Amino acid sequence: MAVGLEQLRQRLKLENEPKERIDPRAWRVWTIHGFINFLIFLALALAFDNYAVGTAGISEIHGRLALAIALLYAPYAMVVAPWLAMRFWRYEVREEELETQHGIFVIRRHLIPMIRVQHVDTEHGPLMRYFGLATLYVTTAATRFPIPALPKERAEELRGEISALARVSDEDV
Amino acid sequence: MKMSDYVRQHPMLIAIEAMRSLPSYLGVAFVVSITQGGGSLGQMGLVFLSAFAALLFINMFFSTLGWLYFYYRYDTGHIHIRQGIVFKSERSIKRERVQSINVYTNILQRSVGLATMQIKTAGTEETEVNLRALSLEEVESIRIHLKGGTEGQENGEAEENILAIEKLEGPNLWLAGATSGRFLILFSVLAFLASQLFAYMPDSLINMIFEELVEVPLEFLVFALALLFILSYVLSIVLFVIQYARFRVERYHDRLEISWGILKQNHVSIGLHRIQALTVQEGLIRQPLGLSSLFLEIAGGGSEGQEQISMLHPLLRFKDIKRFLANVLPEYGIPDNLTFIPKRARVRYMIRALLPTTIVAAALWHTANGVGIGFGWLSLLLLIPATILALSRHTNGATSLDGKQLTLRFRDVNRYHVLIKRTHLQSFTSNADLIQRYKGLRTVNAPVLSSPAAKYFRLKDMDSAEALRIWRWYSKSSR
Repeated sequence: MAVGLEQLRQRLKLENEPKERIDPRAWRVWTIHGFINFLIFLALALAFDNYAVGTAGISEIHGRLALAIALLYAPYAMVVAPWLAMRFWRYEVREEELETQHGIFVIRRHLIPMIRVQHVDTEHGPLMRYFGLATLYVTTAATRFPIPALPKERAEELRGEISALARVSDEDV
Repeated sequence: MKMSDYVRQHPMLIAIEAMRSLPSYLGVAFVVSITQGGGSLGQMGLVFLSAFAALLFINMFFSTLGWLYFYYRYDTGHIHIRQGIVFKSERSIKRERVQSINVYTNILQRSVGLATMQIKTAGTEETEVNLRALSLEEVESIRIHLKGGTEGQENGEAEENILAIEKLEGPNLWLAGATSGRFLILFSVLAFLASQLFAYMPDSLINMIFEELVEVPLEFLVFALALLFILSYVLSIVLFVIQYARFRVERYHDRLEISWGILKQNHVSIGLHRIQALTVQEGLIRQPLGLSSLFLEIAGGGSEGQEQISMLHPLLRFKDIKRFLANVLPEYGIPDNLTFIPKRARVRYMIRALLPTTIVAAALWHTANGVGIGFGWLSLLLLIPATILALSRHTNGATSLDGKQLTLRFRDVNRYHVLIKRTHLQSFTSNADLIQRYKGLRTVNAPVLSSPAAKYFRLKDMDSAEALRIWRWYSKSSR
C-alpha cells in the first residue's frame, strides 16, 4: 500500500515548478474569504430551508440536503481549498518571460513573454490591505494574469521590474 | 500638395442609402400588410404599398439630410470628415492610424460609376469611415493621397508588383457553392419564414389554406417539400457563386489583396503584419471530398484586435493547400508530420461527449414518458453520433512544431488546422487536472489576437511530453 501511495505521488508530481511562492499570509486571507463565502452560502441554504420548503414539490429532505451541503462546504472553503491553493501557487520572473502556476484541482501553468506584456498593475482589496498584501496583474493583448497576495513592497517592485523588462523587449520586436 | 476643399459626396448617395435598406422595408411592409390588411388581397396590397412608400419617404428625407450635412476633405496623409446637423462633428484621420482601406461596389453603384470606400482605423469605437458614393477616380485619388503621407514610402513603389495570383473560377466555384452547407441555413430560413407567416395571418386565411390542403394528396405534399429542399439547395449554390465569383488573391511584397463578387464587389487589402493566424477549415460536407476553406485571423495591428476573420480562400483541395501557401503566403505551411493525441486520452474524449448526451437523452426519455409518448427510448440513439464524434475528435487531435510555426489540429464538428507563428502567440497555457496528471496528459491553450476579442485555440488531453516540447519551444530562456 505504501509503495502504491509513493507511486501515485510520483505520477502526480509536477515537474520544474516555478521557483517563487506567494506570501504565506495569503493563507489567512483565503481562509477568511472562505468563511465569508460559507456564511453567504449558509444564509442562502437557511432561507431555502425556511421559505422554499413546502412550495412546489420541494420537500423537507431537499431543505436538509441544502443545509448539509452548506455545512460540508465549510471545511473545503476554509481549510482544503486555501491549503491546495497555497501549495500550487508559484511564479517566476525571468528577463525574457514570466511564468505562473496556480489551481486547486486543475493546475494551470502560464508562460507570458515580456514582449507580449501590455501593462502591469497592482490592486488590493480591504482584506488584502489589512494584511499588507497586493495582487499584481500582468496583462497581454489577450488575457489578464494575476499574481495574488504578494507583500505590497514586493508587488510594487515587481510591477516596476516587469514594466521595465516589457519596455526593453518591446524595442526589438 | 494643394489642399482640397470640403466637398459633399455624389448625390446618388441618397438613392444608394435607400437601396441599402430596401429589403428590410419590403419585409416590414409585408408584415404590416398581413397583420393590418384585413382579409382581402386588394386591401393587403394597398396597405403594403402605402407602408412601403411611407418608409421609403422617411428614409429619403433622412438620407438627403445626411448627404447635405456630410463633407469630406483630404490632403497628403490625411482625410477629414465634417458632419452633423445640430451637433457638428469633425474627424481627422492620419495616414499612420489607417489600418486598411477597402473598396466595395454594388450593382447600383457600378451602374453610375461609384464605389464605397471604407477606411478602418485602430481604436475601440468609431473605427471606420464609410464613404458610400465616391467616383472611382476619387477613390483612387484619396488612396494615393493617404498612401503618400508616409516618409520613406517612396522607394517602396518599386516593389509594387504582384508576386503571385490565385483565383477561384469555373467548376471549382460551383463546387464550392455546392459544398458550402448553406442550403441548410437557407432551408431553415425559408421554413422559419413560413412558420412566422402563419402567426401573422388572419384565421380566415389559414382556414382557407388548410381546407385546400386537405384535398391535396399526401404524395403531392412530400413532393412539394422535396421541391422546396432542392430549390433552396440550387438557390444557395447560385447565391454563393454570385457572392464569390471572380475570387482573386494577389500577393504583394507587404500585403494581400483579396477581391470577389459580381453584384457586390469587394476589395480588401490586408497588411501581412496584421495576420495573426491561418485557419484551414474542413467542413462536414467538404472533408470527405478532400476540400477545405482558408481563413485568416486578423488583428487591428494596434494594441487591440478589431477586424473579423477574413476569408483567404473559399475552396481549396486539401492537397493543394501546400502549393497555394507556397505561392501566396509562404510564411505559413501545412506540416507533414503530426503528433497525435495518445491512446490513453480516448476514454476522456468519450466521457466528455457521452456524459452530457446521456443526461440529455435521459431527460428526453423521462419527459416523453411523462407526456405519455411511448418511444422515449429512441432518444438513446443520440449516443451513436455522440460516440462517433468523440472518437473522431480523439483521432483528429494533433499538434506539430515546424521551425517558427505551431500547428494545432482539432475538430469541433468541422475539422480545423490552426497555424500560428511563435511571435503571434500572446502567451501559452498548459493545464492539468488530477487525472490528467496521473495519466500524463495536458490541455493546452494558445491565445492569438483576433476580432473583436482574442481567440483561444485549445487542444485537450495531449501527451504531457509533447506539451512540454511546445512549452520549451515557446519559452525563450530554456533554449
